[in-house]
Amino acid sequence: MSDFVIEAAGLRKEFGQAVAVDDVSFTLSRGQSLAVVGESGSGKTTVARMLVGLETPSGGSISVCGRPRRGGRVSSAERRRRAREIQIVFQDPYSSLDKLQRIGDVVETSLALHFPLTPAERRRRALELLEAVGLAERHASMLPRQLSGGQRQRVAIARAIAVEPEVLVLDEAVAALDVSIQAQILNLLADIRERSGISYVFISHDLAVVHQISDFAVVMSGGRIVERGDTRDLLRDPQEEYTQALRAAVPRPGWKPTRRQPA
Amino acid sequence: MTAVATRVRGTLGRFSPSRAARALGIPGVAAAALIAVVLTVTLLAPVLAPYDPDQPDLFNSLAGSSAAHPLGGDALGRDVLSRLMWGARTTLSGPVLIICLSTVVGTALAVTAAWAGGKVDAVVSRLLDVLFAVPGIVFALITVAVLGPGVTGVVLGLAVAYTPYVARVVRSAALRERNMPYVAAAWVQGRSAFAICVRHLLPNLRPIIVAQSVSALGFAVIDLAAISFLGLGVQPPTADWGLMVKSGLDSATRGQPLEALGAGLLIVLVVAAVIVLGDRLGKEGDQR
Ligand SMILES: Nc1ncnc2c1ncn2[C@@H]1O[C@H](COP(=O)(O)OP(=O)(O)OP(=O)(O)O)[C@@H](O)[C@H]1O
Ligand SMILES: [Mg+2]
Repeated sequence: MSDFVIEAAGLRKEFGQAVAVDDVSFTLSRGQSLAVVGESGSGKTTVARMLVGLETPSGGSISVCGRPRRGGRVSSAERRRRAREIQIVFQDPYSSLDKLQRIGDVVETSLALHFPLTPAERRRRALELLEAVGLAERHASMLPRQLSGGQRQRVAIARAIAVEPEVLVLDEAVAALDVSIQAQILNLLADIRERSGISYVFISHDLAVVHQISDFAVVMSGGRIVERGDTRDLLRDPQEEYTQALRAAVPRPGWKPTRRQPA
Repeated sequence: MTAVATRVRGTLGRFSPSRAARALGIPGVAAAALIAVVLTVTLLAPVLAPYDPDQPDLFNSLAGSSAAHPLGGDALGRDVLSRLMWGARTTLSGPVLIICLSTVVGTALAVTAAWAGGKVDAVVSRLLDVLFAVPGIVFALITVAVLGPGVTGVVLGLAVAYTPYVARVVRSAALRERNMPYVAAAWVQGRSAFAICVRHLLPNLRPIIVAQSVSALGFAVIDLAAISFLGLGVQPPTADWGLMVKSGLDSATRGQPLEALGAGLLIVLVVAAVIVLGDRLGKEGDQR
């Protein structure tokens, strides 16, 4: 068996006339993390949604953990099995939790779907998971609106890793957060990977963020992959003008925010 | 112990009378109070009503206000006040039944259409558009033609007529909710479509469903009263506000206006209160 947790070949997605993703191929090895970078509208989210089965590819193929993903109707047992292979964390921490569901329940629901635990065991495991993402027991009885954006994103991560997936897709999972909170979440993700051997697909439009978390990167533009390679090399010596532009957009040390002049 | 404490606090946090009052505003509170009074009187009619509503009394026929009969008597001498109290039961229970039926069916259709999308949604939406275009009275006339005059036929007909009123609004809200990332997350977790609809969509749609069905209730009261007035709904001698307006008009020409006035005024007040309350509940739902 290959040690690729994801093999995507020639992925394509059309929305009506528009082509959102065109001929995208990549592999992800177990325990590694792959960054997908590109400007807004370059097709990153569409790739992520196809990986987790929220969108059916118009062409190409996806294998997760060595098993080809076929489209069409899927039984719920099969969907739950796939859930244990790949999970996703979305960008917006405000809409990715049900505003009426208490934090403890979010994680417990996830556990109940996948593991035969008694209510007491489930409760204990949920608290462990919350603790693992840096939340406390008192958060379990809170509603999402009582938490900050960073805390909510931690809940979304706890919900995803509760399933113990092989791969976690993070679609701009830190983009909506302050820089210092971003750093905390990135550290948390690095910790989790160290402990569990999980693999990440880390989607971002920010090369600086990608640099901290991923070994390998693909650069997308207009639905296609325009450059790929070691994240470090890409940052140091981007071949494509497009990648250079992405890098130039990254604030670096010595960068000062300039006050915007009124037009 | 702490779990119980937090749960209690959570429940109180969700509903506190002062917070509800602030959200409803003065018109909303007045409307809710009026409805509460009417409901109390309706439930306690057997205790509160001074007379048997169906008992004729020739000495009270078309009598005006008196100490014994504050609102006088109708053409048969039955006590108008007692008939208004008892009449609330028939006048209001029909519309409540209509709205319960149309809310359940309408919500089920709306959520199914919004979830399934595609052809199912197209078919359901078209069906709702057609139903919406036909006035409720027409449905009631059709079911009455089939089942004969009486409450059952009218309730079924109006339940069909009110289904799109609830379903259209709930469908568009359900479409918005269905596209929320938390729904996608639940799906990727392997949750069943049914569980997502029941555990996530319905609770989040509840304020909209409540607001829409409460204001529909107001219109159902008018429709049912109108149909009873036409002689196709509630049948005499049952006490009913719609029927009382009808028989009261006749009494009014003979010098006893209190029956028609009382029944008419109650219909207007209850409908206005219900519609105001529905409107306030809708506004509160928007702000959440
Ligand atoms: N459901 C959809 N229907 C139609 N077009 C879509 C749909 N989803 C995405 N698109 C289009 O596909 C293209 C790629 O969108 P996508 O969301 O994948 O980009 P992205 O790289 O994630 O952008 P961002 O950085 O803004 O999140 C865009 O042009 C978008 O308008
Ligand atoms: Mg995106």
